[in-house]
Amino acid sequence: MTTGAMKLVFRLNGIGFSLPVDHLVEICEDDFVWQELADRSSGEPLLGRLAWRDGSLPVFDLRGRLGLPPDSPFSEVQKLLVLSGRPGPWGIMVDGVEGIFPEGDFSAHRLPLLLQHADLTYRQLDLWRTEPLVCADAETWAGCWGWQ
Amino acid sequence: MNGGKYALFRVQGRGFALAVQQLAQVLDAPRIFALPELRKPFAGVLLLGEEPVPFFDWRRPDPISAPPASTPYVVLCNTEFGMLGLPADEARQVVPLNLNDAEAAGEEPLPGAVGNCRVGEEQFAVIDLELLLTTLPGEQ
Repeated sequence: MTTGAMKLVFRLNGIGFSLPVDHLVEICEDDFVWQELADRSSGEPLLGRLAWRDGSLPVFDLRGRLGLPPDSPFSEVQKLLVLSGRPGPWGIMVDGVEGIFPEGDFSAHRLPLLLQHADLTYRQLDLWRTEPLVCADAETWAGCWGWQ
Repeated sequence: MNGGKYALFRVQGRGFALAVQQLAQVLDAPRIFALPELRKPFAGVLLLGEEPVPFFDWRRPDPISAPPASTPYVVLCNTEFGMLGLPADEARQVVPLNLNDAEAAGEEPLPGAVGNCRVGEEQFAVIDLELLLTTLPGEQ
């Protein structure tokens, strides 16, 4: 069994992301039961609340935060990533999960200076199998939504 | 003389010229990787070896294909902020240009165009990369 640091690779609108598995609580692939859907017309970052483990899980709109189209043409069945947070776990919907890989499979690169700006939620790319991935940070995203 | 040697390219039917000393490499249809949250017209990166290079997609948006659309060539240029990739449909020759003969850039010029030079029957917008980068919103 591997005990070293690992990273999850997932996709959203064809874009690859890497996330330390320390941030990950669970990947859900089954039917989701929405307990509550947020009113999106108000620009609310919350998509809604899903039934999860005897309780309710807030699910945030990552696509909206990243400026991606709301309905992905890349996947019909979305997956739920449950991430760790200080007030409690929270979730995001993604198009697909490539798997969990040892940190040694990734080579970190600073985002080129020309691409940097103050509102970015990432500063680094992970090169993985000849593909640059966005280095995701659950805490940064949680901060964007005040979930901390 | 205000000028020098320039490499000529075409993109979406428009010609552009880059000073050869700013030209690093021309890549044949490299894969472009989209990234989120970038300031337009940046659309993602391409890989030069293992190094990500910003892709500056100055083409008019294609309403059909999801960005970033592929491109026959990417012209890699050196700027004071690092390397930059520009899409091109055709790579032409290298010619000497005298910028004193340049005409005004005209309506809807390419970003960074400082004037148009005629080569044969064609017009080529002379691109100043530093000027091009000043067209970006936000901080550098």
